[in-house]
Amino acid sequence: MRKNRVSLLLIVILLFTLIFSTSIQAIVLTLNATTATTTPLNLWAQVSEANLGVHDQSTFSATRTGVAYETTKRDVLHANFANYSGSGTINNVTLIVWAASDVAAASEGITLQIYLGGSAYPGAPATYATSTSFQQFTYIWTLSPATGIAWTWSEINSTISNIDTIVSGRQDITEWQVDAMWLQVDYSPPDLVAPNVSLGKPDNNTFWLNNLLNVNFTAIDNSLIANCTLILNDTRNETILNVLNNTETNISTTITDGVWSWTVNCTDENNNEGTNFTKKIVKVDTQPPQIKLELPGNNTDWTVSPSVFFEFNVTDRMTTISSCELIVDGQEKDTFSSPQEGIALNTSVSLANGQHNWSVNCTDSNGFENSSLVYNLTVNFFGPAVSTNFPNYEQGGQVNISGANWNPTVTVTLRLNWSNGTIELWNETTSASGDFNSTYSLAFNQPTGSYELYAYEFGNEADNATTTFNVNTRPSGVNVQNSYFQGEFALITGYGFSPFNNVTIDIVYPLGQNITNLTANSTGGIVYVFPIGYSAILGLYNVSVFDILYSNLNGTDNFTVNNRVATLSTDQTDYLPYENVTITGQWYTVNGTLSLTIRDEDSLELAPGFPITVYANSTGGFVIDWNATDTCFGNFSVMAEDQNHTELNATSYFNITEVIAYDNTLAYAISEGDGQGTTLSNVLTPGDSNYETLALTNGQTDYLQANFSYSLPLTTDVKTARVWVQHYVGTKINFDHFEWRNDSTWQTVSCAITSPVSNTLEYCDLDFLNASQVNSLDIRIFYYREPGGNDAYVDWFQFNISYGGGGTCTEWGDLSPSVESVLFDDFFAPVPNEIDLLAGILTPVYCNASVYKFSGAANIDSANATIYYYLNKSNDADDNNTHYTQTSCAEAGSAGNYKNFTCDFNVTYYVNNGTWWCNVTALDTGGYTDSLIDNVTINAFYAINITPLIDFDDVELMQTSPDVIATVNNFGNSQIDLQLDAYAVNDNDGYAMNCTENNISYSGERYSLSSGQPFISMTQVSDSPVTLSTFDLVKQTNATPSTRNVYWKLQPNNQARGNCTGIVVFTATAS
Amino acid sequence: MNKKTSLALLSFLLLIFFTSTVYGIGLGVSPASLHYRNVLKGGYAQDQLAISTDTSDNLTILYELKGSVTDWISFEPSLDDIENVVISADKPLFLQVIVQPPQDIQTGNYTGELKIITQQKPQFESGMGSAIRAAFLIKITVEITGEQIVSCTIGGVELKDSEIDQLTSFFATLNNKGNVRLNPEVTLQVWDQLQENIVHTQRFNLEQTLPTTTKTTERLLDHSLDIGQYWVDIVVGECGYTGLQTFSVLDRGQLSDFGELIRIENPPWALTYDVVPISAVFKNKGDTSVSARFRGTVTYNTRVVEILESDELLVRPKETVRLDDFFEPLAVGQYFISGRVVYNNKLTYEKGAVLNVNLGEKPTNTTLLITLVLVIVILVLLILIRKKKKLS
Repeated sequence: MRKNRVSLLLIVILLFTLIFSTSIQAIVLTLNATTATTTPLNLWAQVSEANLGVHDQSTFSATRTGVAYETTKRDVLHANFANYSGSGTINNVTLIVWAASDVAAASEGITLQIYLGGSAYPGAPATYATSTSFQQFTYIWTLSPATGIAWTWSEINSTISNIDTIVSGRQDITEWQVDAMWLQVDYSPPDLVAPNVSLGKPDNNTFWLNNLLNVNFTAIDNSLIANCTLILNDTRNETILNVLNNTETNISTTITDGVWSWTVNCTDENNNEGTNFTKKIVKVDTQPPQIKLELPGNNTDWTVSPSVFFEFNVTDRMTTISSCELIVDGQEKDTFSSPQEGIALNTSVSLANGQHNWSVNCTDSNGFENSSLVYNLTVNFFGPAVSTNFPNYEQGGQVNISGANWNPTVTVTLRLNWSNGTIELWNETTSASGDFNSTYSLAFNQPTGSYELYAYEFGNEADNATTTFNVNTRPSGVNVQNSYFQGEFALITGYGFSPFNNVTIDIVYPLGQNITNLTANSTGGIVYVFPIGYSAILGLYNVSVFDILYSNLNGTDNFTVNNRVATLSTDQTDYLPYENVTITGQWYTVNGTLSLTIRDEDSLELAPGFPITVYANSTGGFVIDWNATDTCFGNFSVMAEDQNHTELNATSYFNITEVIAYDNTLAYAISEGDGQGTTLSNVLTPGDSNYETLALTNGQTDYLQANFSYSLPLTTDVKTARVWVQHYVGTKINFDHFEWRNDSTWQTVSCAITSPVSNTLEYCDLDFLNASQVNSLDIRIFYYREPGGNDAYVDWFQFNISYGGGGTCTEWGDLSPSVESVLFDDFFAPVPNEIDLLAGILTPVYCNASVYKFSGAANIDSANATIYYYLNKSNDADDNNTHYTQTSCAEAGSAGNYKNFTCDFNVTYYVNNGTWWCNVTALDTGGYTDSLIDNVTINAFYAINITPLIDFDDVELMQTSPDVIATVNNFGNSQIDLQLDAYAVNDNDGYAMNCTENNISYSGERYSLSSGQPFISMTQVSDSPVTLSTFDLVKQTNATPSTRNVYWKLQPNNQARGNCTGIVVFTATAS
Repeated sequence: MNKKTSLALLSFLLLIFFTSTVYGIGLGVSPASLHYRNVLKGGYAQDQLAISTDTSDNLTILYELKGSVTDWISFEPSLDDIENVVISADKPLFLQVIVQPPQDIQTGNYTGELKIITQQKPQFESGMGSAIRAAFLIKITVEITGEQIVSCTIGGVELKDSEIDQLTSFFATLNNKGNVRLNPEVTLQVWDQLQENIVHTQRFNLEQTLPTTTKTTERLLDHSLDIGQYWVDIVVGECGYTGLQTFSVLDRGQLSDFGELIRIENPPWALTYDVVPISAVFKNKGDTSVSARFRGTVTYNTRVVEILESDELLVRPKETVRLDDFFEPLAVGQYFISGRVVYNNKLTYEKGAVLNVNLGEKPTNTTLLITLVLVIVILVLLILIRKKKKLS
């Protein structure tokens, strides 16, 4: 009970300390008896006090009772303390023990220890009992002995589980009594009080007139203030640090115009936040009033009245307008005090005519002032006026009349005085602004001259005005080009006629007239296209045009129709074979179709691909290019045939020329038989003073030799080849002859080279040369010296050639016919490409051919054909065994470029078997031919033809008939053998013949391959086939049939009566 | 029967009238023997027999069939209906002789005889005599085997040009030379014009064809090829056939071009430094003119030593032209010439030729030498003049 009171007291003290202490506090932890571990446990209940001064003597004795003497004896009292949920900083921990020893000696003491985490930490060396009275033992741990740093509450509550009280006894029994023991924890509790914030300037609901807002506040707190934040419209804005406690502080922030609530929030170092929830309102205004000028608009021409009506409006975002001033020409003309915002503010100011400017200045209640834009204004106020939009008008025009400065809504009378004195009146009503508009339409035959328009206010003629205008003649007429060609379209354009009215076009020409009515367009214009026929009359065509309603509107013009002559030309007359020929045609049928043909005038052949179709353009012209590549030189024509007007057909001629080339060469002075001589250099230049002197021997010839070379493709078509020689001869020297070398043979050329006595240029033509010969040409010129003669002199040699095409020049013309297909077969369908012969008769076979001709089937003349055995040739002589000719194949229709022929043959039955060829040759009308072949197999064929009857006539019984011949013909193309068998009526009936009565046996009918054989030696027939192995009937090879006879004899027995007939089967087999 | 055939037959009958009055009845056959090789047990084989006569009257024929093959042989048309088997000079009989041996037949050679006999009645009213009947004996040999033989040839392969968005027709003829019925698979690989990319592949089977018979298959190729020329690798593996064909997809209304490089011509022998003419013989087989140019190469020791390109020539329909170029061999040896003709943006099949070159004399080029010397002299002179100017 006492202990409880002490504990209660301690708790009271603790609470008091907690409440009133602001810094260090302490708690006392008493023993927790239930967790004491020293036996007997119940004794610990007596040492639970924590009273420092009052110990109740309830003790626990730590005795060595019953234990043998020990030199050093220690007892350990273990205890722990109640938990405490503390917070704050632990400054130190003190263990306090009231204990007394029954022996006061330096050897008896106790040591205070604590256990942390299972380890013992002694507080200090043993303290010895100085008396036997209870005395206090204490030890203070400023830091946790376990960690070496400040204590933690968890160490206080959990880790300190035991306190060891060490009793170190003497050798005798010593008793320590522990009266009280407690643990005192000294700590500093945490700060939980939030800062108190009070707000300063600006005051609530006041204006702030710039955009940098400064607010003041004061924060008070027990701790240091960590930071403070300005809160605008409930949003954190600007934060500052290091705010002094209880000191007015300023926060600045940039802010826009508007109404803002503000307050400040502060946080102390213990994270306690304090906010002043009584916000203040501040109105930020930095903008002047906004002014908008409305009337009159900028650059207005004010004509209504001298008094100008001004109107504007003004607004201010944050406050009211104090005043506005109207400024005209820099001077304040009117003031508006406290004007209402957002509505039209107006005033009128009288101003003199002239240029002005105006603006408005406004000031708001915060003193902000603003000026509007400056508008220009022209004041033009005059009296009544009338005017027209132009000073001059054409007949048919419209006069736009305007009135101004009249009294509003009054009647104004308009009086128009025509140039011819006619007066016309009409009224108009003015508008609210004193204006009116009117129109006056002038007739297309309106009298011309000056017109006066007088206007006055009806009933108030003092208000009047006058203006004038002129009416001029409406220009009208017609235009047409001066001349046209037949086939063109004359474009006739007219102008100045009355719109949408009829206009007559009268065209008068030699021996004719054309009248047409047209409707003028909206401007009085007309367009008429007059077609001039390709056969139109030539001459002058007069055009008259006049308006049907207004005769004063008319015009005339004329044009000439010229003869249309188509022209066809080439851009050059001569072309090289690689050049383009540009062909230009003019004056053909407009947009017409032309057939264009390029023809070789020498051969009259057409260029490949020609004729072509060309389309003339809208003027009847065309231009095309044709490349003469590789065309052989010659004379050519191009002809354009107009498909619409044949009279426009035209032809132009041009040439494709050969390429000219030449070669100079050195010459060699060679004496006959000397071979190649010395090179001579004096013959390179014609007409110079250098000559090669050919010293000749009396009565002999000698020569100069020259070689020329080119590198023409071998297929080049050489047109001309000419060797030039410039020479002269001395006395009794004569040109002898001219030679060229053809391979290794020198051949003399006949040419008109003379023996000039002065230097003369002559030539010798070798036009027969081909490209190969031209590429390397050797020539010799021979001179003969008569006895006593002089020398020959040669100045120059040159070899000129001309050739066509780049290499192979293309000759035009039709192509040879082309046999495109040949089909050789018989007429029997089952097996194609095989021919089966017919026994003993002719077998028809055919060769069908399809022939193509570039220039059309009409130019295919005929076809012939041969068929022949494969060991023969097409041009062999006919032979029934091996060769047949069909000289005229039958036409079997044609289409386009194709013509079909059928070449029929009848082959004998004995033609050779094996491969046969058919060669079809087509011939065109130009004599060109083409051939094509096809083959077929003629099968081996075995056939016989036999005498139908073996007629013995009447034979006496038991007599032998004469030989009756049965002839076997080989009707095929292969050798055959023969089998014979016989029967009377039916096969195998056992008899040779059946007679009216009885039969004739096999022995009664016999045969032999030889004639005149005795019956007995002949072979009797049998019912089984007997092969005549020596029969070997070869095939027929000519008109003579291949036959072999079988000789038959009959010897009827004496029982046979009446007629006797039998059957003999001649069976052929392959040999 | 068309008019042409009628005319031929009329003339034929007239010939008969004038040529067949001397003799009796004639009988002909072709061939004289039938030999069926490697016929599979239970298989099929056929051959044809042509039977003809020289008489213009209808002649009834009989037949006798003897030997071990008798039961397997049938005829088409059938000879059993004797009244209908008649021949005449203008109506020979083409008889299909069909062999269908039983499944359980032993392998080996079997023979038989087919005798074709004309049926003539005796024409004697009195006296004694024999009527002669003409006959022909055809020997038949059938070789029975148990081994299945697959053998076939492919011919008549063709792909026809077609217009765009139209199907291309493919034709091929199969000749079954084996003893089992066949319908082999065909693989078509379509390449672009330069044969660089496969643009279409199609597989299908040819129509089933019996042994010893021939059948043509037509097939439409379903493709979506653009306008242009294409090459087709055709493979019929079962028949060991590979082939290359070309066809074109044409624009609507476009005429088909078709040209053929017939051969490349050149002299077979030449000497080094000879200028050897090489000509491509090209025929325009189409109905429109084409522009043709030969392009080829000359290869020596697997190395291309010369590119050949002729001038372009306009070749008119059905015209055959020579497209020329020249080649100068510099070394001894064998040169291979190959190339194609390019015509209207199409290519022909490639063809080749061989040129054998022996050693010849190297030509001296005096002109070139002189020119070279002159150039050097001029250059030296110019340098000297320039130096002189600098010194002055």
